[in-house]
Amino acid sequence: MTLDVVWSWLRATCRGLASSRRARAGAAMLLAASCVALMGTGYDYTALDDTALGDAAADLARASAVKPSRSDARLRARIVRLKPRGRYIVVDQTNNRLYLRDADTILMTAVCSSGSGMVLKQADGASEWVFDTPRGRFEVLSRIEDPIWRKPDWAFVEAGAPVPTRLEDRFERGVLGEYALYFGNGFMIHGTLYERLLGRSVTHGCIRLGREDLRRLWTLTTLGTPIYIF
Amino acid sequence: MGTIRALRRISRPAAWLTAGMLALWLADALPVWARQAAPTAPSVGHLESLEELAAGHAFYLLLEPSQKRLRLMLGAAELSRYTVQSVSIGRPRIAFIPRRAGTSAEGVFRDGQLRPPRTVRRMPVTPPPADAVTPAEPPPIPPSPEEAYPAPPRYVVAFDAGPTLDVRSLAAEGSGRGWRRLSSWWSGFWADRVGALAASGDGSRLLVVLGPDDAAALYRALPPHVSLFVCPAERFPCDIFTRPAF
Repeated sequence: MTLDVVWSWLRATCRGLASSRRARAGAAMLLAASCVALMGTGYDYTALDDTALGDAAADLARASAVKPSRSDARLRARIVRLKPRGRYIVVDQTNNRLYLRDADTILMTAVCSSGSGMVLKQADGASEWVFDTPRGRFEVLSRIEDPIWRKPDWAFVEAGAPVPTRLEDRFERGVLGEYALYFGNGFMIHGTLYERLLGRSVTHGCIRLGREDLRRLWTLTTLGTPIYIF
Repeated sequence: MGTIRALRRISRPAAWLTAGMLALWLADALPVWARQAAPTAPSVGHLESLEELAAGHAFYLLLEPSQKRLRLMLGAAELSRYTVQSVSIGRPRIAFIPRRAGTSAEGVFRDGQLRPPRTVRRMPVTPPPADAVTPAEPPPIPPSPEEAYPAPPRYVVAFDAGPTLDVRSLAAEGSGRGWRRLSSWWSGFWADRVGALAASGDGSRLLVVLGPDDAAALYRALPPHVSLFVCPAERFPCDIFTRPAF
């Protein structure tokens, strides 16, 4: 119904335009004005850098950075104190990269694997697990050589196996690589048996590293090394 | 017949409309030039905002136009650094009439949302039945980050107030050729017009051009609800983060 009305209106308009010279001129003018208005719509861009401010402003800026006022100095000192001291680990979980940094220097770059984001539901719907790597600031809480994996419930559910009642049935050696850096809530940076999957989001939330990278990270970090995951 | 009469009446108002727009543009253009030429006054407030971010637990972007640098930060720790090819601020205008800017492009802007959004892939995993005789098929190899989250050549981070961060890849800025260049110009043309018409907050836009790899990496890595701190160009307070801690 609405389409019929629009169609008949369009037909009437076209017929009107064809028959009247003034109407044609008016429509053309309106169209031209709309085009001009459209061309004049958008953004006026101005560069935001030293050149935009001029040399004098840039000189002033450098001078003010060198000689801050007393309150400036206090604030700057407070900010500097908040910086991580020494080495820290950064994990880019979407791009699957791990960096070891020290202030402005990147000491190490490694391809890693992070959480797959998959959702595992128990057949009876009793439990659900989301395999995400957490974001935020953490720190190395414990360092484990030759780690033994204490399999959580989801590992059995995922494999279609019954969840064991005895604790000793949960332990598995050799699947976490040579070292593990535990950073809380069941999450670790550890090795993997599947190095071909590094660079892809395949884990249950932990960070996996290749053997050589894990060895290097182990030697370059200590207990308490901050871990930033984004 | 009614339509024809209406159209006949259009020509005169259209002429008045055009004249009116011209007058408005002339009246408004001069103050805009004056505003752009005036440098922003330095303030301790910038440092206080930076200190608040550095002491917090939220992710934020640190844009330093004077250093051509964009950094992703958490607290006072630098997580990632992107080299900026150019930074400019865009003030919206509609039919040649500049919109009044509400706030300065410097300071802290919060609750940034990526557009187009990067949707997290949530694939359900079905466990095999407990009495399955045949072993379950090995799971398929998941896609690489580039395949899972293809980055558009241009995207925006919209904040709840203040400017919008418009990130463009250098490839989208005309380094391509032929049809690709034309298509990127065409999409940019309409994006600018639609953006100016639908601008929220103060309506201004910070245009940041990054290298193709950096632009794509930032799109994939940007955490939700990120804040933005734009360092005042003439004071460089953000160089604090690059000095070694004592």
